[in-house]
Amino acid sequence: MPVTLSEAEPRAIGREAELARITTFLGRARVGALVIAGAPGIGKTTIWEAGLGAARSAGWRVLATRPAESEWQLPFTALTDLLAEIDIGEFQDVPAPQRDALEIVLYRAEPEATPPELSAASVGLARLLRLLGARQPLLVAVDDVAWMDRPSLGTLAFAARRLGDGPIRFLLTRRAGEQSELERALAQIRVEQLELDGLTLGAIRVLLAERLGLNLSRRLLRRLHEAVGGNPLLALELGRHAPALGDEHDEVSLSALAGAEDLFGDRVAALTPPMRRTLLAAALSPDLAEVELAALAGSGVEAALASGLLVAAGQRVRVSHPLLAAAVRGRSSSEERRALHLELARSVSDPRRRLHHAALGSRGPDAELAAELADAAAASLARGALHDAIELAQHALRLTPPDDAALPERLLSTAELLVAAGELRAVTGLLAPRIHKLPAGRPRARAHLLLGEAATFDAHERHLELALGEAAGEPDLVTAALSAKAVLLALNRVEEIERAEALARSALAAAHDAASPAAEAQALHALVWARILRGRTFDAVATGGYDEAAAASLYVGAVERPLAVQRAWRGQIAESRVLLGRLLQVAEERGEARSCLVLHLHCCELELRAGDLRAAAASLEAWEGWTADEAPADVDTIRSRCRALIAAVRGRPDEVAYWADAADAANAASGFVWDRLDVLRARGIAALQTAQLPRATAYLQRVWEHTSHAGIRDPGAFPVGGDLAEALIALGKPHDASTVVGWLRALAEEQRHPWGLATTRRCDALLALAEHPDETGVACLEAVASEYSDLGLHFEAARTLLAAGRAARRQRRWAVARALLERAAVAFDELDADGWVGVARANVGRRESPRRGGLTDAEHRVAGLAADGLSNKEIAAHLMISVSTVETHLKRIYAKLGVGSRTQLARRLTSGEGSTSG
Amino acid sequence: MRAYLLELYVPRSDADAVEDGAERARRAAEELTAEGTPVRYIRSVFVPEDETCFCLYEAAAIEDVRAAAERAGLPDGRIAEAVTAPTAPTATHEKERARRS
Repeated sequence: MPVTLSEAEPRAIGREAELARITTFLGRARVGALVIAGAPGIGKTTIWEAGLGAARSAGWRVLATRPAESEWQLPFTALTDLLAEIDIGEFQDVPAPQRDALEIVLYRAEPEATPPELSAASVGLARLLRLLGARQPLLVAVDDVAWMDRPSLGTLAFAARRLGDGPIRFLLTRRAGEQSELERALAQIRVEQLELDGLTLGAIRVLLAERLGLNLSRRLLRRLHEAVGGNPLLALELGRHAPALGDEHDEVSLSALAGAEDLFGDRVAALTPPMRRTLLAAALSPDLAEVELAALAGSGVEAALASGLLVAAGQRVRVSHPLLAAAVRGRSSSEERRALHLELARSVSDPRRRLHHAALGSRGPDAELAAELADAAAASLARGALHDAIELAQHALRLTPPDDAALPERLLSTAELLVAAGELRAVTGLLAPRIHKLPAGRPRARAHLLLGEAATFDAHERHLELALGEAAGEPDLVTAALSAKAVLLALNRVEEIERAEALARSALAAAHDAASPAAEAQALHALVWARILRGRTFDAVATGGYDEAAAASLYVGAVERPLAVQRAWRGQIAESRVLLGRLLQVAEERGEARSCLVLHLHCCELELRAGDLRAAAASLEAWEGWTADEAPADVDTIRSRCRALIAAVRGRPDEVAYWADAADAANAASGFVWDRLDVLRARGIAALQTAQLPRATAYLQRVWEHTSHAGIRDPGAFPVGGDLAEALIALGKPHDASTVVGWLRALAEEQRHPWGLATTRRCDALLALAEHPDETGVACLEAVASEYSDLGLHFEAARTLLAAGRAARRQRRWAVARALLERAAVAFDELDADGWVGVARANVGRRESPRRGGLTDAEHRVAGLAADGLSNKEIAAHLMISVSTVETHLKRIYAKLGVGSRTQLARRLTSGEGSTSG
Repeated sequence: MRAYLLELYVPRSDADAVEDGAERARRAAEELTAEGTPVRYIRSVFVPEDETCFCLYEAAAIEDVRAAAERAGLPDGRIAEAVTAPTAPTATHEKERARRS
């Protein structure tokens, strides 16, 4: 349905072109978001409002909010505004956990004991918007994104990333300058910018004439237009300011007045004190109701509205323009503001806002107010408004008298909030100088635990020790400290796994003492990881019951997660996939960000083992979608590590080197040894591919030794055993290889480890072939390849076929070799592992009998590209050789294969009989 | 008769309006002249950058120009007295002058 601007809209003078763009935006399918940007006063809101009108006339559903500029907003105000007209019925199709979270956040329901996962509300919002969009085209409109309260912005950005293609559009305005988080989130659905420049001379003339009845001479008009840069608001302000501007001789005063920043300041200075106070009150209090302001300012409100300084929006009043509000605030003293905040605290009805004004109005310590603020912080947290809770908690802390008994607790809860928000430097800044003032025992133990989370590895471990020192008699804290130690050791340092297990056991014992399900979940989490690294199974029943429902989150509490990962290590690919898939579904439904993040990572790692590159890349991309709140160094390390492994499986050594270097660089900051080991693994595989055997051995050996030394007994956790043995055999060190294989066999048999057992057989076959090159060895390898395939380990299967083919070729059994290598090539091709396809095919090409074509490696490469239709020039560019070299190769190729043209060449190569490729 | 400049706001995107307006202005001036109020429409100059169109008129008084503009349905604009310099002689002019003299 064509979208037009209704005649009834107030005329936006001089903005015809921009309004046309709005109608195009609403009518066109491709662009998802339009951002109107420009200097303050340039007219963004006018265009924005016209857009809303046009959308509504065209039958769109419009959700709009206009955040006010202010130092503080009630959390989720903007979101509440946006969804104000949506009633309960429309929420029905949103899954329950998400709907509940959303309703709490919108103040439509009371929070429970545990705060809702913020991401649950975000996921719910995304779902809701998609549902609404399915019924009717939907426009989400925000005027002045910069002033949106932070929780609303985060939630909306989160939802925006997940909307995909659909009839949902966004119309935003913002000041010129940096992109907001929301715009970045919307980048996937195509964002267009509409930059508003100043109005033309003619338009300004009309504006002044229509709005102020001003009829200036051309010369004066030119000067004014220039002075304000065509900014309509400033032009009006200037026009209003100097009524005598009709006189040409007033030019001097015009220039003097035209310093744009001072324009509003002078107007403010010209106001009467009561009027200024009224304006200031409105500027200090977002969403102030008219009656509330009247209680403070009496009839001044009407006067302010009449003079256009304030505008009414429903029952609320706001300063007519942010520039004016800023000027009013800028010209007030902090004393004035403080006094007004106190008065606002008295006249404002909403208890939350009242409290906020009281906090801003207070001067010195105030125990009662501090206590109220602390309670409000807890209530805000229960709503999931973490940052608002932090602000309230910080006020509470500031106002707590130094000798107040509540001070230690307030200090610690504020620190806990900061940790939850990821503001780790703030934690250190807050606690480190004050820790010695805390009472010994529990408070200090808690402080050390918190400081540990904010610190690097070594410092973290020191803090854990100190915490344990203070935590005697506090079993829940002991559990926390011991669990953290165990996890640090096992998963981050990847060392002393046996000790980690012992620590986790002690943690569990302490948790039983504490009789706390949360503590128990923490300890079990650490214990399960340690155990599976030790190659043991985990029996929930034996350890005395594990209650899934009690687990606060899948991230920590679900034992299935490490168990699913263990299956992947063991090579039980299908089972692992099913388990992870189920967990992911639950996590997404619950909106648990951390859990979704880590589960997608596990999926990527699983698919890498299977060799399904497309699935691995897809999982990594999904993982990226959840990384917004994580520390950048950690994200970089993991991303680079995964990309290095993807490149290794794909068979692209240059890419492996690139990503491996990136990962190591990022690792300098994060320090995760786990990633360092995986990166070495990737380098090792790449080196094997390019037959750089000493290097391959070196890399793989490092991993092997580190993991054995650490006490990791599941050979699949860092599956280098098979590759290391292969490298050693190829290097001519069968004895060293035997040692490795021996150990691998012992572990595999002890744990009945499918991957381990298959790999042991592969290694045995390779060792046998090194001694007695014969048919049996090759047949064994073929059998192992089938075994791998049955398990779902297709990359290993293909590599085993490659090894088999090479072995056959060394025995000069050409037909068998070619068949096996061809199978390997096909298998790699199915995985998209193009680098390895090349390896397999290159091996086929080598040492072909001349009767069968006998192309060299180089000729084979050129032939393949020529058959694909590339020109000589393109081939030269692709292979980085000269065109004349290409021509020479082609001459020889034609001669050897007995063909005369590219077409014949292509036919010859694909014919299969005596072909050198497939 | 004096010269007057009528200043109108015309949006950049609306350049076609200028020709329409010029036509209407010419006709309205002719009508008024026929009715006894001599007004002559001379030409229009549109400056897109300023979104302003200047219409040059000749009339006895400023009110006559206002009337002509209204009759032409031109939006409210500013009218100022103007002074025009003689136009550069064209070939026709030269011939006329030569013939007369």
